[in-house]
Amino acid sequence: MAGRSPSLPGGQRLRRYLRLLRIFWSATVQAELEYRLNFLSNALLSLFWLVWAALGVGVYFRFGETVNGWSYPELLVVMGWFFAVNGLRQAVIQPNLGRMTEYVRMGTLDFVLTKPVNSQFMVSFRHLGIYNLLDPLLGIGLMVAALIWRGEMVSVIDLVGWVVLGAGALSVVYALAVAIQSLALWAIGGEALDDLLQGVVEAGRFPVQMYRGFVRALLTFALPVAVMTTFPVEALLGRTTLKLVVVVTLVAAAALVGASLVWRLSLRHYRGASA
Amino acid sequence: MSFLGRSLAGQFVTRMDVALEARYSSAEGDRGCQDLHPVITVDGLVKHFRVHRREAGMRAGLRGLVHREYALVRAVDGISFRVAAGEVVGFLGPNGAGKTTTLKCLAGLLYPDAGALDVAGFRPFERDQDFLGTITFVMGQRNQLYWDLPAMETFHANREIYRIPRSDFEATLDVVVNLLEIGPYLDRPVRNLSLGERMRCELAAGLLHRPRVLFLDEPTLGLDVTAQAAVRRFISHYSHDYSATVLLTSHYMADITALAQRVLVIDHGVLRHDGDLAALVAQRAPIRQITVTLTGDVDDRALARFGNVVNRSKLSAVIEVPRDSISAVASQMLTALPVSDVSIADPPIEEVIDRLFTERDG
Repeated sequence: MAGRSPSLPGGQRLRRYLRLLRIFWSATVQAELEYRLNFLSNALLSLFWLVWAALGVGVYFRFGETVNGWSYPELLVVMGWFFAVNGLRQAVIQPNLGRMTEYVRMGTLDFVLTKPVNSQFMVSFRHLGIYNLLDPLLGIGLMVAALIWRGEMVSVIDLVGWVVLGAGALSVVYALAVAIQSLALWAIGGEALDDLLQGVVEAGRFPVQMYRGFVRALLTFALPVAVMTTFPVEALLGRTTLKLVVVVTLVAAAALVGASLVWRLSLRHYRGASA
Repeated sequence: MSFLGRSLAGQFVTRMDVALEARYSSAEGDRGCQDLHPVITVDGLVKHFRVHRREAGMRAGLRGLVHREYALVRAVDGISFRVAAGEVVGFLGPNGAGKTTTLKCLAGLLYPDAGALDVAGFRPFERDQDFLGTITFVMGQRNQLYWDLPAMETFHANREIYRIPRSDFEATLDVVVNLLEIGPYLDRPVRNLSLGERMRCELAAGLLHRPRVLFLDEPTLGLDVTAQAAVRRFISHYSHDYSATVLLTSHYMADITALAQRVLVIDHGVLRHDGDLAALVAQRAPIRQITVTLTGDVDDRALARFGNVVNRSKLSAVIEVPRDSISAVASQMLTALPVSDVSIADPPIEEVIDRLFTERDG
């Protein structure tokens, strides 16, 4: 092909996309800054739900030390991690996913697609839900508190396992979001795309061991609920294996590649807001 | 345009030419090809859409859930043309003729069903980042600006997106802001701008990276006369100063007559005319109009001898006359009638186009 200039080396490209991220997100923050009250009320609401949910599961432990092998503090670690992942979903994924059908209907996607930037990056990171940015911090806070209550040391290896499996979890959630977002290119008017992802993520509120038989198999193998919440937390509690870490890393990589393929395939079927 | 703006524009053109030259000489190995090489080549472009056909009403809606009927819409049905560097080409055609679909295929938004496309040496649908940096796609009444922020924020975002060096960015911004006269609007949230003000900012946002190929889809849609004129003036300046290639659709004939040296008439996905406007008129309107101003009263029948009277008042008349016999008829009128003034003109372009499309339906 004529005139193709060499593409940027990896490091420069990463820096360019980080700069773009800063620009997109600072624009969102500026636009939302007028509504400071929203931020405060949202923070209070998040805190309320977190406390409510944490106390709520305490009911299960009135008749025993553990439920399906999980103690109360351990379950709280899961809840904290779930809250953090869900908060990230709401802050980073939901504002973009929620706008996808609007992009298609209003033709804004045409602008996205004619920009010399990776289109998947543009549709998935252009907006940021700043009101939910506190949720990941609250979630991590609950995890730390629960780990201290549990009273066992977390080794460096456990921590590394959690970081790797946690990154895998977030990658899988992101890949799912991109795949769902691609649906909007096939069917204009699917207003409930975000509900789909929320449904999947919500199931991760509890460790998969809490579910039985068919549902547990479904959540482990078909839907990535175990990958999203149970596995990273198990690592933190010193219950993971190297094999699992390797498998999850491969699964996450495959999910990212697959999502990108689905996105590109779907773009071929994109037909615009009007012919 | 201010003197400063003009001199800056001059500098850009030089810089851009150097870049272009480098690009074409590496691609073609021969500078001589640069002028001959078309910037846009379309060969047998086909784009069909399958649309869900549905009658009105609840029952039909429910039936549609179970058994869907589809109709095939041949939006673009095998059109071919070439556009040379620096040409400004107008697309004419009724709604649904396939104009926008063609533009979208050329901008890499739609995947063509058949045919070969080449824009500035790229295959559009591959959406190579260098290709996207070469083109712009501006759509009237669609919004790419950050709605709640001043337009300047979008400009800065585009600077990063298009990797425009800061000095180039500031220089281009200066020219664009001057030409479009948008200086006063840059620091107001976009939502508080009028449609005309916003559209001019949209145009600016789409041109800061100094694209060589412009796809403009109804850029003046819904604008008042002043804003239309400003947009037109700007496009004309830009295409001239940067030797940019422009493909333009518009419902306002004034846009086409003011900007395009050449028109493509497209209807039902098929190209019906490709050439300059004058040729279109000559070919499609085999008549011209003679307007006579009379010094005394003249009988209708006396006028009808000369041709088809389309407009008549007491002391003037407009008569349609076959193009070939126009001068003979005009001189006959001068001797036979009490005439104080005669003017000969083509029928309005709108009428010619309208006739072109109604002929097909009739």
